[in-house]
Amino acid sequence: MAENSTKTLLDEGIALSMFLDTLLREPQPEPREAPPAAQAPVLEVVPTVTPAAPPVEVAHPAAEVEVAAEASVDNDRPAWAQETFQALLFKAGGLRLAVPLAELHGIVEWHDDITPMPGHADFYLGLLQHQDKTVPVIDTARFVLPADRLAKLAPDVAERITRIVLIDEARWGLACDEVERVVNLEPDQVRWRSAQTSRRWLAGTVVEHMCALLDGAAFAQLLARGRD
Amino acid sequence: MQVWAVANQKGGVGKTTTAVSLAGLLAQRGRRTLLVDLDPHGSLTAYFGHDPDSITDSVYELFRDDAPAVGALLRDSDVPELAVLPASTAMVTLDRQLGAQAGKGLVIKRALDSVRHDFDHVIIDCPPVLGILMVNALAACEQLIIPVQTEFLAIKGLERILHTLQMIGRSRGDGLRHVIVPTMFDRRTRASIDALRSLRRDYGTQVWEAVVPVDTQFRDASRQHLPLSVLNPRARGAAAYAALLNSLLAQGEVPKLRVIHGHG
Repeated sequence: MAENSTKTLLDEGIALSMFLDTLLREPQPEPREAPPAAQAPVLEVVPTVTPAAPPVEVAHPAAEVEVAAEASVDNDRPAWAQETFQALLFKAGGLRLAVPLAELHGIVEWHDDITPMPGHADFYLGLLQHQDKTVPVIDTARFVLPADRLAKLAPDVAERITRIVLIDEARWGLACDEVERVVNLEPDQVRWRSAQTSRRWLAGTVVEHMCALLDGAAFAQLLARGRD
Repeated sequence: MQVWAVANQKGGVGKTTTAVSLAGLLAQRGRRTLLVDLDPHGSLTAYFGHDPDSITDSVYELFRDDAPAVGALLRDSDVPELAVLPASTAMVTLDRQLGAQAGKGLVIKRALDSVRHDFDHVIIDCPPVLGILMVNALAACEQLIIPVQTEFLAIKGLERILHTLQMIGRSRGDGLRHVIVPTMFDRRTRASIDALRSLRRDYGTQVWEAVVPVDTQFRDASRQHLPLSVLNPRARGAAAYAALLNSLLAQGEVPKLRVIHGHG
């Protein structure tokens, strides 16, 4: 039915915002230099990963490291963050998160058509049938919030969840309270995560927007490991 | 150089008439004026006797990677001090060809910057759809003029352009001064009077304090490829636009019209 195909479209406001922001953004022909680490702002909002998250040793095959070196990227930032990039702001459990548009597949509205997955971790809400895919949907708040904030979450997800953000080519759905807007970010606006952080899903934090920037690929890897 | 854009996402509301009338008056006052046609329909281009279907040098060229200088694309008009940068029908393909490429919303702004010493005023006639051309117009201008036909359905469509304006304001990172201009006002009809009343009630100080009346002489002027103020400066329509121009020039000096700021 047509209903399925329309689900892949972005919200009108988001689509329009992305369109305008892109057209009005000066293209950047020159590769950017890495910002000096000393100028990184102090973060005030630092979400903590839930204890339910699996251990986080994600192997980096040597080949990947080689490719990164060949591309002469002299920083640890993801490929999408080598110059100005756009990110979608959304909220989960009251916490503002951002996902880079480069890793965003789409946004769908939350309906009560999620098939529950009994026996899985509590952050698995169930399975969403999206076009020809079965997409596991995560209660993002339960995955990223610290325990003290989890206690304040409304137990009924239908009361707080309005949208599902699809990442990793729609292999995962992140349920959220609301989708806000698209912002343009310069790499030096982000305080990038340190190499030894335990929160592999956290690409960095953006003080200006008081949000945590997701590393969609790492998030998906963590979820994949957790599912097994 | 001041850049004004005339826009509404509803067609047939007096956009081209407004652009031509204001530009004609400016030129008659000795201001070096450029009219830019960003509407692929090319009504403004046709107004000055050029065929948008066959014209070769047009705004379209500015979107090429090897764009020519703006000066090479300008056409003189029969009005001293008034030049025209024409549209061509091919501009309708720009959205499809260029999609949403970074910076392509700033092409016209850059082009106009290159001629800022050659003109005192630029007036842009916008297309009625929100696409790359309208974004270019709204990015390039500092004043937006929104003609609204004093008719119920036309007023209903006003929300759309105001919403667009707000979104552009966010993306530009600054506000854009705007004024709503009631057009085609016919004081003999109840519909016109009611529409004007509701326009003022709903949009208050955003609405210009006077109106542009219906005036059949606008049609006569377009047939002769001249602004009405040149053909007949005493025509009611020409007098109304002269008053609007005075108001806009005064507002330009001391901005007090409502400014929509992007935030949040």
